[in-house]
Order: sequence, then C-alpha cells, then structure tokens
Amino acid sequence: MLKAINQSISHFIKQRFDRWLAKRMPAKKRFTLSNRNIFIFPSKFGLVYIGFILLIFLLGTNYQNNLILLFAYLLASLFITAMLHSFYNLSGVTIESVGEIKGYANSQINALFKLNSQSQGYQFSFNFNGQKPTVYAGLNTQQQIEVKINNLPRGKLPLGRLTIASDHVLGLFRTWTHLDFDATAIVYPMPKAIVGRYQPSDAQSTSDEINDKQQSAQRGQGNEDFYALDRYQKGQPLAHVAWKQVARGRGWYSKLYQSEPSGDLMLSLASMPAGDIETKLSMLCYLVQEYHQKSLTFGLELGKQVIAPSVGNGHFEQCLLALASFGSTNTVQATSQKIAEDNINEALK
Amino acid sequence: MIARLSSKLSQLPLVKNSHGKASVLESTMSVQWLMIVVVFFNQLTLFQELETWLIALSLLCVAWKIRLCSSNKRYASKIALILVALAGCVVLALRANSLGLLVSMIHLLCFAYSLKMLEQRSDRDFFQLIVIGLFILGSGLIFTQSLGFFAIFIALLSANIALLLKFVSNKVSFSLAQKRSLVMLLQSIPLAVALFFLFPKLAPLWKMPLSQSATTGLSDEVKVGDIANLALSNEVAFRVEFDDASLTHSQLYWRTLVLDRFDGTKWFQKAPPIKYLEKFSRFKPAVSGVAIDYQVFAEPSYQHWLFSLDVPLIKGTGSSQISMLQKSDYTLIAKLPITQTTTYQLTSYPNASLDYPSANQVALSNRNLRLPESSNPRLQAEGKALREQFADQPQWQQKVVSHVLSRFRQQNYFYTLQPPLLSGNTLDAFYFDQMAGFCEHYASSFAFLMRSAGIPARVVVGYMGGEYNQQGNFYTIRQRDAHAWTEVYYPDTGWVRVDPTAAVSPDRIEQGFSDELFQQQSSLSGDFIDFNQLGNIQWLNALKIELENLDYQWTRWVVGYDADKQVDLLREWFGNGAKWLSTLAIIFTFMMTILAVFWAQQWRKNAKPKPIWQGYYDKLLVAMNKKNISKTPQQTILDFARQVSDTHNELGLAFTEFSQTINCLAYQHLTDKQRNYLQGVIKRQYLACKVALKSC
Repeated sequence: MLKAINQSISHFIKQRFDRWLAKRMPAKKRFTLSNRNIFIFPSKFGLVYIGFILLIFLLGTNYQNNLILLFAYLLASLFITAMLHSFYNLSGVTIESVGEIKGYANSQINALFKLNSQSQGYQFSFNFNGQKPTVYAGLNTQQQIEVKINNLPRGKLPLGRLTIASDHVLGLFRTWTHLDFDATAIVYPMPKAIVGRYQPSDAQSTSDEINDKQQSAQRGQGNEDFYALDRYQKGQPLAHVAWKQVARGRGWYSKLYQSEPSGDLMLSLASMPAGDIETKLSMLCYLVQEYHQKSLTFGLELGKQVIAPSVGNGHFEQCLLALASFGSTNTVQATSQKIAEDNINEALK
Repeated sequence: MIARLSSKLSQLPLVKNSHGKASVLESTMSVQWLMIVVVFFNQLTLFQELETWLIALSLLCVAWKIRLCSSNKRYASKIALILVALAGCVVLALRANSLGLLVSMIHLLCFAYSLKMLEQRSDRDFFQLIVIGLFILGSGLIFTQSLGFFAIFIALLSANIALLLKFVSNKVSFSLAQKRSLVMLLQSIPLAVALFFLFPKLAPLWKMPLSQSATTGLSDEVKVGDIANLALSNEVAFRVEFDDASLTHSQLYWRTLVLDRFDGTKWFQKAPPIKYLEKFSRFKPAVSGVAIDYQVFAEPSYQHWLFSLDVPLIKGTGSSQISMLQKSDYTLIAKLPITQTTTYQLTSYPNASLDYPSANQVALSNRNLRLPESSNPRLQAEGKALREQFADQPQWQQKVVSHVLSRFRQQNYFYTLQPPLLSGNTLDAFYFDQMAGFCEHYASSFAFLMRSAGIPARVVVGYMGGEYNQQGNFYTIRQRDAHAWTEVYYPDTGWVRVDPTAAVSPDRIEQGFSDELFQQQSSLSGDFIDFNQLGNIQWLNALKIELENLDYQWTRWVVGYDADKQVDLLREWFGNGAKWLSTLAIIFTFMMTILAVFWAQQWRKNAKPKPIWQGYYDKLLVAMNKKNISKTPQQTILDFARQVSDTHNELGLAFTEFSQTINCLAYQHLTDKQRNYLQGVIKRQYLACKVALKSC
C-alpha cells in the first residue's frame, strides 16, 4: 500500500519535473551548457564530506584548537571551490547532434554528437534514459562522440533526453544536464537467416510457381546463387556448409543455391515461414540485406504497405525503414515519404 | 530544491547505472601507487605519537600493498586481511590502557587506514580511505601546532586532494592533478581565512580525551643535577609579550613551582589535588605598586603549572581565558594539563610583597623549617653555628643570609653545567668540598642551610631570563633557561627572593648563558651542529631571528586566536555593528571566492594561445562584417569562401586562396615544416585580402 503511494508520488513528481524540463529546456539540435541548463548537487561522497567537516569542526571546538578549526574551514571552502570547478567543467560546452540514430535491434547503436568547448573537459558520461553511460575520460576542445545505445527493440523509438554528467573535480558534486535533442532511434529488425526453404515470388508469380521453383532448387543444388539455409544433412557437399553459422555456434547449416530469378522479386511478410511477426520481420530484413548486397531488384510487401521493386541505397533504406516502423503506420508513411523525397533529390543531383 | 528533486529523479531509470563515476576497477594503477605514497606520509605526521609495533604494522601494510601493485592487484585476500586485523586489534586492546583514550583512537584510525589501503574493491573503499586519511592528517594538529608542521600539513593536504582528483578523473596527469589541487586550495584560502577570523568561536561542547604524552620541562621534584640536565635542551618552553614594559634580564624570574619539602635527596611539594583547590581555594594576593601586563604563550608541557612573574593576578575573566587557579604560594596552575599551545594573560606587580600567610606562624614554621634529622650533618651544624653567631643581633636573619651569600661570592665556588658527581650527603659534599654546581646545587644547599639556622626557607623553580626578539617584540624562554632559586621568610616583610646563583655567577642573572656555558651545553648535549656558535654568523643569526618571529606571530595570531581576540578584532574593524558586519564580510569573501574561480577559469580558457591564423581570420571576419559580408556559424570556412566569391569578384579570389590555407592549417595534420611554410603564406594572403577588401 505504502509502496504504491510512494510510486504514485514519485511518478507524479517525475511528471511534473518532465513538464518543467520541457518548458525550461525545449528540444533543440544544438545546446550550449550554461547555468540555464546545468544541474549540480553534492554526490553521496559530498554529503559524507559535509558530515566530515562538521566532525572536524567539533573536534577543533572541543579541543579549542585553532588549527583544526582552520582545517575545517579550509575543507568547507574547498567544497565551494570544488563546486565551482565542477560547474565550469560542463559549462561552455556546445553539443550538437549529428546524423540520424539507426541500427539493428538488440545490437549496439551509436548516436553521434559533436562537442565544442573552449577548454578540456574531464570524465563526461553520456546516456539516454535507462541506458548504460558512455564515458569519455578526457575531452578535447573539438570532439566527436559516440553515445552507445544497447538492446533497443525494433521500431521508431523516441530516446528521450540525453543526460550528460560528470563527477569531476573531486567527486564531491555531480554536475549533469538533461538535453532534449528530439532524438529518435530507427531500429531495424535484427536480420535472421531463414531456416527452411523460402522462394521469393516474382512480382507476378503465383504460389504454384513458388512450389515449382522450390522443387527445381532442390534438384539443382549446383553452381547457382545462394538463397537460403537448411539444416545440414549427411552427404551434402562440405563446400555448401555455412561456415559462418557454424563459427557462431548456431549449428550446422548448408547453403541452398538456385539460379538467379529472372524477373523482379517481391518479398512479402505473408510469405515468410511460420513464426511471430517480429521473427518474420527479422527474416525479411535478412533477405532485404542479402538482395541489396547482390544488387537484385526487389520489392517489399508489408501488409497494406507495398514498396515497388527497385534497387539502390535509397531503396534499401526505404525498405529497412518500413521494416523498422511496421506496425506504427502514421510515422512510417511520413518518414517513408521523406525518404522517397530524399531519393528523388539524390536522383536529381 | 529543484536540483535535489532532479537528482532523485535521475536515480529512477530502469537500468541501474553508475553515471560515469570512475570506479576502482577502471582507475589506473598509478592511482594505487600514488595512494601508497599518500598513505605513508599521512601516517608519518603522527610518527611521534605512534608506538613501534604500529609503525611496523603500517610499514608491513605498505610493503604488502607495493607487492600487490607490482602484480597489478588492488586488494589483498580477505582471509589474510582478517588475520592481520585481528592481530592488530588484540595488540591494540592490550596496549590501550597505557596509551590512553586519545592515542588509542589514533592508533586504531591509522591501523584501519592501512587496512583500507589493502582493500580497494569499490569506489566506496576509496572514498573511505580519503576521509580516514584526512582525519589522520587533521588529528596531527592536536599534537603539533608549529608553523613548520602546518606547512607540511598543507603540502600533504594538497597531495590528498590530488589523489582524489586523479581517482575521479583518471585522464588527468599527475602533474596536472597536483597543480589543480594546489590551485583549488589557494582559491579556497580567502574564504577559509575569513571564516577563521570572523566565524564565532564556540566554547568546547564536551570534554575530550587529552593526549598523555611524556611531560616536558620542569618537574615537581628537584634533586641536584636535574635542572642542569634540563638546561641541555634548547626547546622553547614559552613566549611572552609585554604590553609596554622594558624589564631587565635580572627581573625576569618566571615563578613556576614552589618546593617546600626536603627528604634528604630531593625537594618536592605536596600539592592538594586540583579538584580540592577548585572547590576551596579562593586565594587572591593583595597587590600594589607598578603593574605589568603581559601575555604568555605556553608550549605543551603536559603539566598543570604555568609561568608568571611575581606577583601575578589573572587578567580579566574572558571566556577564552583558560581556566587557571591561583595558589597560595603565588604560583598559577591550569585546571587541565597544557597539551597544546596555550595563551593566557596576566598582570604582575613586581613590587608587591609575598607576605602570605603571615597569620599562621606556627604552620609556616612547621613546614618550612622541617629537615630530615640525619641528612647533611655538616650543613646542619654550620646552620646552628650561624644562628648562634647572629642570633642576638637585630634582623639576624638578613645577616645570616648575607653572610652565606658572601661566602659563595668570596670562596672558590664555581658555576658549571658539568658538576662532579655527588653521592651520600650531596649538599654537604657540594657546599664544603666540591664547590662546583648548577643553580639547583646552590639553591637547595642554601635553603637547607637556612632551615638549619632556623630561618623558614623554600626552593622555587622556574625559568630565568629569556631571549628578546626585537623584530617581534617578544621574549622566548627555552628549557635551558630553567632555574632554581630560594625564598626566605622574614617576619616583617614576608617571603623574599634570594638567588644564591646571583652571588656565584652574576652574569647568569644579568645576561643569561655565558659563552662558556653555551660551550659546555653543546658539548654535553652532543648536537651535531652547534647552533649557538652559528649565532655568531650575522646573516644566519638574522635569519634565525626572522624565523623565530614568524613562528611567534603564527602562535599569536593563528594558534592563540581566541574569542577575546576575536571580539577585539571585530570591534577594531567594524566598531559596534560587529556581528552583522562580520557576517557581511564572510558573504563578501564568499562572493570574492566565486569571482576568483570564475576569473581563473576565464584566464585558463584565454590562456590557450590562439593560433596566428585564427587571429588573421577573426580580424578579417570583423572587417568584412563592416562591409556587410557576414558568415553564419553553420557555414564552413570553404562554404563561406564560395559565398564571397559568388558576390565579390576581386575579393573572392584572394579570399578563397586565404580560406583554403586556413582550412589546411585548421584541419589537416601538418608537419612543423609545412606549418611554418603555410604560416608564412597566410600572412601574405591576409594582406592581399585586406587590400582587396578596401577596394570593395
């Protein structure tokens, strides 16, 4: 009961604080740290230190020992000095977000920032809410930093505020700031090799044709193009073993080959082998990567959303974006439109 | 409030994170090595208070840690540590009784400190180490308050801070850490000094255990040879500053103890316990005549007695005045032993008589005429003979005294620090046979002789003279100035000081130690360097006087700065509004500290020399801005050049070249040779741009 009240109170405070933060430090692409956005508060050690000063003061008073009193005052004064030094460690730093934050689910994603300051900074840690901090022990006056983000699920995820914190100079104070870069991570599904056989359809092909092709693929595991993995069975040629998978400890698979499909290929969510939706998306992602590497012309069909067959980096990104944002339709359309525009711009150039 | 809230909130995130705090595991080994040095020196400041076994244990721990560090380890195995901890605690428990509470605590602290050094597993361990270290460093100040020690203290404090700084930010180099910590200390000093002088001085809140070091200086039992031994030490016993009085050397008899009992070998006193005195003693001497005000700065002696000129009165009743008691033998004692440098103020009346207790003649005679029957028979016989010789004359006591003094003067008596060894009836042997001795030989045999003759007499020990420091207008009284003299009781005037040493060696009384005595002293004390001889070298002597003065001013203004002095100082500075003005002064200094740090930061930022090309570029940008050609912050150097060349033909050409060179200098990795070459080029291009800009 008490716990629940506690939680609701802390939730309420957090909400109020977030609102206050949003008002005081609205989202921007570029921040300069100053007394407007730096927070400073004694660390746990700092609080212990204050207690220690009191102890020394009592010792000096009780012994009527002026030097011990002087020592206490010196320590107290040092506390103030340390506070100012801690503040100036962060103050004056300009930080700017660079590029988009994108990567695969459950892997490390780097968010890039550019830092500018007039003097060297020490012991900066950067982290997005809930993430482990990335620590830079020494910062040059101009530096690009990578904030590591781990274990994000697939999707378009707002990352919230970036916390920059430091314990420099003496660990007595923690100086920090919460900056809103409006950072959104675009997280693609983690590619997953398909176990079993999958034959993409031609843009116009029917399921019958797929079956035919599968059969022909079975017949002719020869010098055609690789298209999927299957469990290794005794007697299959060693040359076809997917050694990469073996090395990763995923077991023995052999690569299945087929001759390059003649027409445009259409990858579709519906045609993925059984599994939950995320697994299917992962498999699709794998294929998209695979085909992009081979410069195949392919299209993507995700439920209602259809991306026409095409090639090129722009197309690839568009497909990945579609995979990332599958399920949250509004944003997907908006961004995919933007990417399409970008593609056009690129083409015009 | 908001900061507090947000710090609470920042701890909410789902993943527990360490917020970039350095951890022991991340910190480099160099921090561990620095830690060993700091731990060692922190404990070294307490060297004199620590017992041998603990010093050995500490050294063992340091050696252990060095071994651990050499194999890249930060902590010792738990079992080994527990064993050492147990062993140490057992020894400490056994020794605790004889050590006393305070010193035991310090031993415990040092021991814990050593063990903590061997157990660096987490951040917490490190921060604990730092706090214990600072505490140890601070507790050294309980025992020593000299300026020299404080200088060492500050140096060590900065090393402790550097260690902390290096731990928290491991990218900071050693030298930078040391420099930063010194700078921070310097920046902290103004506020600390303001607090020290202006923050109200509180009375002790509760009683603390006192240190029980070996006592130094005089003792309340004197047998022949004791003071001669004490005279070998050149240590400072106390210092005195007179308000306005010029006294000659022979007037400076610093009364400390009155010894009125003799047991055949030694003079001693039977003082009632302090508690009893506190309750019942209400002695206040009747005084008259010239008054001399002065202040005494007593060095720790771990004894109760204090030093004063005859006849002393405690000056004022200020709260800061240490609690003193006035005894009926005209000496002063402190209620608590003097364990640290202590200041007290007195008024003395040199012409007042010491006639107490004139009323109780019987008790007086009983105590001050008593002699052990069988001791020193020859002196006893001599006393009786003297009495018979002068008994029928008026004021026969004075006549006896002057008779004996003239014997000292006329016969072949010799004043020396190296008296021959005496045994048995020592006073007899000295008075009749050897005739060579130090002040206590003369004083005790004289007092003995007077008692034999039926004149009440007693021995007074204290100090005689003092070294005047003109620079600081104060007297330094050292242990070598220890002296013993006598007092005899005349029925009509009371106690009168008689110093037989003055009869033997008038120089000792008028000028202090003669060169001969100094020579004896240095050869006996076996000092490697004879500082008194060095005194003949003029500049060295001047330096010595300066240093002594510095130490004295330190004692006076810092060590001896008490509530009374604070009140005086505040009144002098701020008049009657002392209270709120001093608060204002503290706030003012606080602001100044903030400003000082701010300026230092600005200076640090500006101190980094701007490269020459940056200067050229900035100047050119300003000049172009005047002609309405301005660069936005987002534009790169080359983008801007492109923009300029689009709009301004002539300038554009020169400026593009200039910008390309700038770009090279700013962003490319260049060898020194290339850089020098380009810096030559840039100057020409800069001038060309300026010319082009003018025609724009």
